Amino acid sequence: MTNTDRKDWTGGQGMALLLLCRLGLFFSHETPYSTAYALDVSMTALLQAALLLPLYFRNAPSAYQLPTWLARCQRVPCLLWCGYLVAQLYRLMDSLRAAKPPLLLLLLFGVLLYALTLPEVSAARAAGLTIALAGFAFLLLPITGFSTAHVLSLYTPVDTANLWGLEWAQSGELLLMPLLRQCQSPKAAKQSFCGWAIGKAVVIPLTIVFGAMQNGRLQNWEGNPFFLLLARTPLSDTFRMDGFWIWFAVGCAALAMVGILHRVKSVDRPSPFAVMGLLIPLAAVSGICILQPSALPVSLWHWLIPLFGIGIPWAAALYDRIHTCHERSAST
Amino acid sequence: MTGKPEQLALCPDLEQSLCYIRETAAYSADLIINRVTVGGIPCALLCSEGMFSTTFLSEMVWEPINQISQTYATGTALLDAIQNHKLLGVDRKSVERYDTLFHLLHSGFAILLADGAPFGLATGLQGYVSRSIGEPTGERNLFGGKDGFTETLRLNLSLIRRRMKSPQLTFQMLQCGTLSKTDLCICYLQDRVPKDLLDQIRQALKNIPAESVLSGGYIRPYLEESDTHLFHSIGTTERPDVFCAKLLEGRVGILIDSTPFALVIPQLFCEPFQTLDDYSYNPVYVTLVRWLKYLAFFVAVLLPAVYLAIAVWHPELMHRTLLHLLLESEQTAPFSIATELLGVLFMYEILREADLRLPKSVGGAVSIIGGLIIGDAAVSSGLISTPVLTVAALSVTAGFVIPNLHQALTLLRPAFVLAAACGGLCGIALLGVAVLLNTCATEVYGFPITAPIAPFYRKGLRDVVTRLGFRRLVKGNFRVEEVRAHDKH
Repeated sequence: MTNTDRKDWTGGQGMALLLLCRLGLFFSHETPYSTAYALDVSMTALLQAALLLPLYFRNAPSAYQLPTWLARCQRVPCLLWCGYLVAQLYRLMDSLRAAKPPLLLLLLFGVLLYALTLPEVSAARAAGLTIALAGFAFLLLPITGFSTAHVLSLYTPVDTANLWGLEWAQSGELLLMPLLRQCQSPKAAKQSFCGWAIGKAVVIPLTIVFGAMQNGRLQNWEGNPFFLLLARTPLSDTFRMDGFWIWFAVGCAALAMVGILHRVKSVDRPSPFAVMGLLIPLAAVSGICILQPSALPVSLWHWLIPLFGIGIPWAAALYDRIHTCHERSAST
Repeated sequence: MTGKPEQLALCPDLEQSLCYIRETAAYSADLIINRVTVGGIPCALLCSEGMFSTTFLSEMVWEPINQISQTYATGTALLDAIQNHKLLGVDRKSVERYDTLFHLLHSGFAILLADGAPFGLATGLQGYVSRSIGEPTGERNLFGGKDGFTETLRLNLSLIRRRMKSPQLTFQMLQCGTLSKTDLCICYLQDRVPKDLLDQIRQALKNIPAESVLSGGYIRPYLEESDTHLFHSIGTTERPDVFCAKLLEGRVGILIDSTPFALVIPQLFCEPFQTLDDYSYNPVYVTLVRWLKYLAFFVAVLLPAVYLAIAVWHPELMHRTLLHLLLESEQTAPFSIATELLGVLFMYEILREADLRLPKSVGGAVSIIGGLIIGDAAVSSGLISTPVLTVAALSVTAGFVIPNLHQALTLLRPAFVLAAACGGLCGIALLGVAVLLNTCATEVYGFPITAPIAPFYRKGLRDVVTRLGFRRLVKGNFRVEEVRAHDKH
């Protein structure tokens, strides 16, 4: 077996990529640290899982396979989503007064170009490793968090309007989900799905709750790096303890993009120009998003994500079912 | 007689044959031809000077053939009689072609040719001078054996066989190098090695187009899948005990004649962090040491870059006292921190290389000049700030803990410094992603080096994240094949 032989992703690797897609935006975008938002994230995850559950647990091997043309169509929202992620990452770097954001953007595209020349499984493995490292931090979180947490912070009044919509708009991993299924065995896909559902419905909300409880402490110098790996510091503060978690934020976003682009690239046999054929539109979308932030408004994702993440896979599954029934009746 | 030696069968006419041998060897000074008449047949005994033992030659060849008083009608009958009734050493072969003749001749065999016989008799009399077994210099330990591989292949095989007397342990000899015809030995345990891995390695070794194989580095690129990977997927060891431990896990080992290092396929990323002493200490202590090594790896790679990023781009991340200290030190230094760091790191590499290449008698002077004179003078004169020197020294010292990863560390350290200089912590993160992807893409014959974490394999973690006690470790012994199996679903 050589490196060029295509390998399926394991259940854990698929789950890691899905969670990284969510975490990438979680760290790059303004995340309201409040109990209400944690609850909304959990509820949204449960609803999304319920909507997708039959695709994984009933006739999963055949029904969830998208036809090639539909998988190709999936490129458009995926590229748009990646561009959106690039723009959010750029905005984060800019707001953190990071060194030379345009240069970093070039470096990011260099990394993407290099990553797309590697075997597809490398992104999935890297995602698995990153999530494993994050898992260690999560293990330390309760130990380090409870001693300094402020329970009263949970009752901080936050504007709860649009939080539900915000979570839907940030659920970019749903776009990857139908494509992810194309390179996984039914068993592995099922594992990925369950891991993603648990991660999103339980672990991410818990992180938000811990973040909310730590908000008071973040105003002081003595921050805990393990917690700050996951928590968001207010950007307007005079001090910034973001050094440790910014690695994770950039890493999550970059790996999520690599994972999505790899999947989009391998929908059909990629030519040597396929990589540039992906990166040039991505650069264009990113440029538009950075220069004109309203070009891809949050409202766009409100219908694009449900349509391509849930609607089209369901349509494909139903079409497949009808087609199978017709074939059966014709043969009998 | 025309044509390439490997295409020709031995000529029965002794004179013609000797003439051809002399011409092919270009009258080389080390070719010794002794003419003698045995049993009434003109014969010639061929040896290569310096490759055989004269004692063995007289005891095992001259004495038995001098005792032959019977007369033989043909050379073939004479050689048949010697082969069947006279014991000429243990390692005996019949030579029918010139390429075999030359190979055996230069491997320390004595070859007896008889007039009229279309074959010769070869007897192994190897007696060339070789280095005796000594303690491995690169892989020292406290509790393991003190013997290491030497340059003599057969001796190395005996070191392995002494440790594993199982009939499952198989040695398979091959020759590699179109010109050097170097002997290689593939070692494996029949019942544990994945068959496809063995076949692919055999095939790859047979197809190596190199003219010579003078060290493991000559064949490693042909076995690895790419030269662009930062971390090797094929390991090396000079310890027979470590080599045996790898074979027990179902790996394939390759020994090369004239090289005191063995290759082991595959090698996972976590293996350079493991030593033989780990299995002699208390498991809890070993787990702690192992985590220290993982930490040392990150310190070795990232410390200079993180220091630079924080000092230049994110000074607010530092405590006020630390910031003041840094400011004071840097005020007198004429260069930027990035230049200072890169300068110190490159200076270290130059000193290390000089120390490695210089004769031992002078080598000590390098550390004195480098450590005391250059380091002290540079700081005293204000050319380099003390924090930069401290950070570089800490990073380099941390790298000593994992000497097998030296090459990768040397490449990554300045690369991360440059990334930090360009983009601060974000630059480090982006380069980190590229390195992570490169590492995750590294495979050898389908074995990903990032196992057992990616692909995740719980059983494999017993000796990676922790080191369990032997009682638990031996339950379901680890096989490297399991790693690949877990990557398939």
